Amino acid sequence: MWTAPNFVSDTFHDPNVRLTFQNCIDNFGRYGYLDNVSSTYNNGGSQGSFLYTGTYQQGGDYIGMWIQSGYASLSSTYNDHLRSGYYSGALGLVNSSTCL
Amino acid sequence: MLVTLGGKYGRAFGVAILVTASVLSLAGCSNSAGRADASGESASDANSSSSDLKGFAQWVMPLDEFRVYPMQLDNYAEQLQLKNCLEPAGYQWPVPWQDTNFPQPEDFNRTGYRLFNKDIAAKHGYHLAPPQNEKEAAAWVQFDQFSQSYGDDAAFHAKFSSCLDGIRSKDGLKYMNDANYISELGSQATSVAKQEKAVQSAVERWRSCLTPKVSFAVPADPWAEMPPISVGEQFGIIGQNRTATPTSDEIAAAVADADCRDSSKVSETLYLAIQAQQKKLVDKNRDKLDRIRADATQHQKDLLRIVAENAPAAP
Repeated sequence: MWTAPNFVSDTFHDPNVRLTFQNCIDNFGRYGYLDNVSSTYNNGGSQGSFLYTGTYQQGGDYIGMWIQSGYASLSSTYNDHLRSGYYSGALGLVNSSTCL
Repeated sequence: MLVTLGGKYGRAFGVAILVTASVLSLAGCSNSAGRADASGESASDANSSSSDLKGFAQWVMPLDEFRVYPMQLDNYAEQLQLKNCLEPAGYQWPVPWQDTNFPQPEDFNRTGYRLFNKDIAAKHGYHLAPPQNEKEAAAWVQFDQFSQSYGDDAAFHAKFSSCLDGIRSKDGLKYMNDANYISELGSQATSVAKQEKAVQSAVERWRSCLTPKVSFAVPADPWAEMPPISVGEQFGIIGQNRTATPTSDEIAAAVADADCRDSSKVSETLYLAIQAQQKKLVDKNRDKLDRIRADATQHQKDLLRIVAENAPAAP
């Protein structure tokens, strides 16, 4: 996930400055990405991913991405409004030590 | 699994979600929903009918009827097709069985909305409820770990990309984008609803109720920020020391939270406000939503056929 559109960071427009995760992140705030994501891509090969407007899969609204797909420019209601992310296998996982 | 840029597969589908910008102009105009009083309050219990709250417990919303099937079905069918393409080339791709009803844990409704009420709080605190089928969930975690075992094998990734291109050649990402269009409308409705005075007043009542009952600073948004990071770490729902079950302190806080949501009517007020906004959006975008639903209904049949023809036997 990146803080600017087109898969780059706000700072220096660097594609390598990004937040990546496997399985899940319950709170982007732990990594400085709370309400700060503008483009996103699911580079996985086996599971869809879901990004929520609330921490811990809360908020009710989420954007889903198939494997090998993403959004170069999130819409205004999701841009800078995402707070947690999960791959489908991690949805509802209890005590997932693999979450960031 | 990795959320990042193109990378090893080297492809990026950059698709901007459509924005119905005009909807944003509805902010603060809740009177048009017919449930507002002269002070600008809206969606209060005094003006809501029992039919409006009929789906409250499961957070049923007007846009739900257009969500024909969960996005996980697309992935399951796609994974089975990938298996058919990869395995003849000598690559194992052991896709596990998956229940195509995609039963949700008790703390999620059928569209993936996370529910929170006193019963859930008393049983699970802020922890997630267990999956309906823990063996199935574990099998998918195991499969995902296997899928990453190819590492940087360039020949595998070339074949993988070729297979995926073939599977998606007909419709591309159409159904993903359609599903996200509906989600986008839902998100717009939520954004507008949260700006309503009635909702903001209810949030303040909730905060006033909960603040003396817990030992942490109560956040501004009960639906997107509970519990705060430091408290989540303390309760073992985030960070390095996760626990499978809640402590009594966590349950006490969660139950107090749920009680305050009830007494302040904050969830009920937001529910009615979102419902009203979604009704407007459904009316405004009816033609497109009807088309999406019709397409998805047909596509679901195709996906279920692929699954029926290719899925492993249920354990």
